[in-house]
Amino acid sequence: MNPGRAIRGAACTALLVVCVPLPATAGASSQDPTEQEVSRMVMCPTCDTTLDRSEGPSADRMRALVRRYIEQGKTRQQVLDSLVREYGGDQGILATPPVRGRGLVAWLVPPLAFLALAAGAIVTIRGWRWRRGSDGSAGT
Amino acid sequence: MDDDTHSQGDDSPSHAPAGASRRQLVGWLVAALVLMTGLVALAGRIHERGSGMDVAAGVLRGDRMPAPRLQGRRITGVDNPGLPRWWTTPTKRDDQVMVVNFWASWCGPCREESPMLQDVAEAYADRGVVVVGADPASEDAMSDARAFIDEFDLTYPMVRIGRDVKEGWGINGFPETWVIGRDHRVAARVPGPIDGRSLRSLIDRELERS
Repeated sequence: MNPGRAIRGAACTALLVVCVPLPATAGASSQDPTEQEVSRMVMCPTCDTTLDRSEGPSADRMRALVRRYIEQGKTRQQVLDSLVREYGGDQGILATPPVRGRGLVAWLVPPLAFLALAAGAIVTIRGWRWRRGSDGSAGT
Repeated sequence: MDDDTHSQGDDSPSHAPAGASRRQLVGWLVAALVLMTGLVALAGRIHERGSGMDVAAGVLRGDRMPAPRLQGRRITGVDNPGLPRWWTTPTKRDDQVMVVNFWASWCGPCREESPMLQDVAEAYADRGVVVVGADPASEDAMSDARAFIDEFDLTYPMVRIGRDVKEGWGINGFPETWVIGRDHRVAARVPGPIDGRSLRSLIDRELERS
């Protein structure tokens, strides 16, 4: 089998594996969120970890808010929106940036960087093949 | 067969330069990557240098550092004036000594000292001293902040500060209290809780100074 094609195939597979799961985080149970589920999606205001792994007075207050919103029957998105409003409109309290506006940068740059690197790698490998070919040692 | 064409060299312009130009492309890609990494690192350094750590370090050395900028939003839905209108005009602040208290509603010591701050604000109101409370918007829920102000009937101006302001002052915990002189420079910085007597003596010293 042609080694170049094999490498290209592997690169494409890797690309698929990396890129496809990204949009899959949307969906799931958005109507009746649980406290545990929301806690994984927001950051503790003072500890740089997600709320479900955080201890301390500010984390306790945030959990209390989440519980109150859920009791009020809010959907997951409404709970998140209310939290952002309560914390000064700061998107930074969301564990993942929103897939719109400035948050798009965080979603687009990694796959694009990966694509660029993969393209670079493919080009390099093909370059090696050609050089070997021109040395006349390809057939051995 | 195809490989042979490539090995011919420069005289066949449509195929021959492919290897070389590709290698050049890789070179550019690597250079771009290195440049980007460098830029990110540099941005990080600049960000660090612009932070309030400089002010905090200067105050520790005993220098009268220029006070960082204090600005933010009003706390709505509560009976509190927010920063006075003249606040943004530095010349009008010239005859004021400022006490800036950084607090959050979930902070225990903040609860203990806020009635004292209210007393100090009232006692010094006609002596050219303004007490200002600064609440970090991204770390304290607005409804909690409202409840806190209501509970202790705090009438001294309150402001919700953003991350940038908090970093500008180099605040790492709550409470923290600063005294700013009429020259807009830092007279004192007290991390952690402060008692009424210490705060009054810091203010008195500053009033006598000028």
